[in-house]
Amino acid sequence: MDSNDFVLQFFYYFFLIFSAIIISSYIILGIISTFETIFYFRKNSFISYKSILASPFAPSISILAPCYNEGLNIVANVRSLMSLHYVNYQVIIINDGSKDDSLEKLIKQYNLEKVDIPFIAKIETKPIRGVYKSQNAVFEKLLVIDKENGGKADALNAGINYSNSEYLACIDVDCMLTEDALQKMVKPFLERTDRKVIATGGVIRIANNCKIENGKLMQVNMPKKLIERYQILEYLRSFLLGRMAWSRLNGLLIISGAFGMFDRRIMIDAGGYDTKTVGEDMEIIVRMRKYMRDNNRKYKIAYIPDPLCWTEAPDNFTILQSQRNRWTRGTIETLRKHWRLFMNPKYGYLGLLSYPYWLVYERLAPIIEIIGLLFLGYLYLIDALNWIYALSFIVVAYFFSIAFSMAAILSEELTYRQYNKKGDALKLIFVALIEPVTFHLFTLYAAIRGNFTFYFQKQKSWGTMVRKGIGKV
Amino acid sequence: MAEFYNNLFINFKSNYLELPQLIQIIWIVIVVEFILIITAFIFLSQIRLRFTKNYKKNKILKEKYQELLINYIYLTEEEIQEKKTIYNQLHTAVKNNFDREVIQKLILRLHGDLSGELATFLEELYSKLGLIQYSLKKMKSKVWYIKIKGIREVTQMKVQGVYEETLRLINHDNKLLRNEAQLTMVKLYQFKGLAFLDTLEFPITEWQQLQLIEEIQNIRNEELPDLTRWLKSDNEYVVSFALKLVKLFNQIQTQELLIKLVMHRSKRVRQNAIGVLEYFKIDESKTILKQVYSKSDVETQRYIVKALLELANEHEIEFFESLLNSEDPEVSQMALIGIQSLKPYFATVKLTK
Repeated sequence: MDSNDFVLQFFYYFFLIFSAIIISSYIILGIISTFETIFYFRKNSFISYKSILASPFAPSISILAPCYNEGLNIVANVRSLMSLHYVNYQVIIINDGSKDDSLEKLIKQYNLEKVDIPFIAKIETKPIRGVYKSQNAVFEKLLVIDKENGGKADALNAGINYSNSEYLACIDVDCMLTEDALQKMVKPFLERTDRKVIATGGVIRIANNCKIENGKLMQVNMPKKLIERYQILEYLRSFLLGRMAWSRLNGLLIISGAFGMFDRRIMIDAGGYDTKTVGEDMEIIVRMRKYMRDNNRKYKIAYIPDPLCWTEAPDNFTILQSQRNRWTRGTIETLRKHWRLFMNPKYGYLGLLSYPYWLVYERLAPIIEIIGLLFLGYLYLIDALNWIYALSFIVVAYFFSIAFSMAAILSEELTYRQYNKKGDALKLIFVALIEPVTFHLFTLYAAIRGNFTFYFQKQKSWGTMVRKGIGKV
Repeated sequence: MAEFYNNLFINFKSNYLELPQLIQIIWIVIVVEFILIITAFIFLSQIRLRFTKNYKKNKILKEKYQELLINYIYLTEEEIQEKKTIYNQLHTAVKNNFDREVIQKLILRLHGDLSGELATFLEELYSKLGLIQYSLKKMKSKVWYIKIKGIREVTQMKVQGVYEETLRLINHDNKLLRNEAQLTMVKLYQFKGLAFLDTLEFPITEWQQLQLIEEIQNIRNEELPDLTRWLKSDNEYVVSFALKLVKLFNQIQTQELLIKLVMHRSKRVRQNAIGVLEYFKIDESKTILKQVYSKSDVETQRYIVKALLELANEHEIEFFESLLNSEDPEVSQMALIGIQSLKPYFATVKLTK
């Protein structure tokens, strides 16, 4: 065998083994998710949330919502957050140096006045310009912090400093939470006695084209644009099949920044959000887990599949590309920062399973896939491409992608049935058929761009998201 | 035609067998994937069809039986003939599984919305229609979620005589069954039902405690049992739960025991006891709280300082001052708040520094 043949054979077996493992892991995760979802459904069909609605023993929760130039929707969003069904909570809005009239609108609408709250910073943040409370008892739950711009993580840290609650619900201010969101999210924290639940993540659903009135979701509609439907399918796969299984294995590495609930003390003890990364939502979970392992404390990161948080998804490729670019950079930064976890038996599942899986199948997968495509191109150019091999690989991957998407659609259909109008299922199936050869290529491109930005661009921005406001059907 | 297909198959088979073994396996996988996709598609269509069909059928039956049930419970004693007719209709309907499920759900829902005589009337109807037997059958099921469903139905319809059966589940290995049994005890036997706390060997989660308290708050006209035996329980979760009851029912006379619990072996109990002392503002507890502070872990220290914030007078200023430089910022912040409330000028100066 000459060296050329050796290289070809190496690549050939490498891609074969890589594909076999990725397909097997998806199947295993899918099976675990199915069992976990069935159990969750059966268990929760008996649960009454009435007991926590007005209980004098309901634990306290602070909702932390950073806001930057959200003047368009801020008043309505805050109103929505203050009408959740829970007895013991406060809403902390952190104005992160907005350049628009967000703060002025809040002051006017909620009759806010500057107050002096004794305060020692538990986590360092950019300077606080002022803290505001309403003079109207109706808005007693509301606290507004005005600070210099420092980014989302810095704003959340400022909110953590001012919170005295047991739990923190960190959300994006433009997200719409269902009225029962806090009751359901806090439940996992109260359910375990054998280990400490340090965080709970929820499913994020796409609100584009949904009917929303007064901050309440009235009707779920299938979005009109294909780009939005792609994301629906992607979210279903990720949340219903992926994260549910990782939660069962206690191996979750991320809780979406759009909505997650945390044990405040553990969050502070772990050091709060990292302001130097764009992937602060993933980084904090990895760090909290590491903190618990370092202190030999048994813990769990829970996850609930109920559709509790609805958000506006990007509806054009420029914004979507920017979002995916940021996600990729966040993953790279987090994995690099915590590289010592890799295959480290001291960290159990975290070091031996979650981290390596994330590294190979989230961080490196797009690069490996691109190399695979380039390899095919190279073989074609040197006239060494075995068409039957290439075709077989492509078809097996394409069919697997469709089968996995079908499993996600089926899972949604058997559980929450949010898209229950005539034709909705067919629309999703159509998306499943074309997604592997259209949208997937785009996400691949965005991930590669993310890598390029991370390694070669000095100016790294958060990326922009132009809000239209959810519910504007 | 048959020959054509036969040849096609033979050609296909010979071509397939000529492929390398790996490619053969991959094509088997492709065929399996294809079959799975088609199966999923058919299954999805069937689910949608069945759901739509059942939804319509359910809606029609619900409307029909709801009307009958409402008429039945509001008919007067004089309208005995109409009552009998409706009863016969319902009695015939419960023989059909689908109809029975609808009627059962409707009675349970109506029962939840009604109280007094009307609720009792529905309980009698549930029994007369023989639905209790179905609920008891579910209760005896070996499948946990069916068993829970049965327990729920039996409990809601206030079926007495299941005490022994329920008590047996109190220490069941399945947490969900255990929880359900505990709730049933309280729902059916009120304070007497709390006797399960004497024999409970498992933990009670915070969530379960909230559920139990919700039920306990619905108890009317019954004397609260003595809580001290549970405050002395070996099960730390029972003690924590009893502490909640002490707070809920303002059992301030237990203060001596509460103060002792500040030194309990369980951290959970210590923290809960401190919380109750704070709630009752028991002045006598200040000394012991300050004494145990330095020996406590950070989490408990936070509870202590928070309690002292409620109890403090000028004698605590010195104690709070000693905490200003605590390693835990939360303790420092609370100490600062304490000083500010007792000595506002001093705190402002400190803050400025």
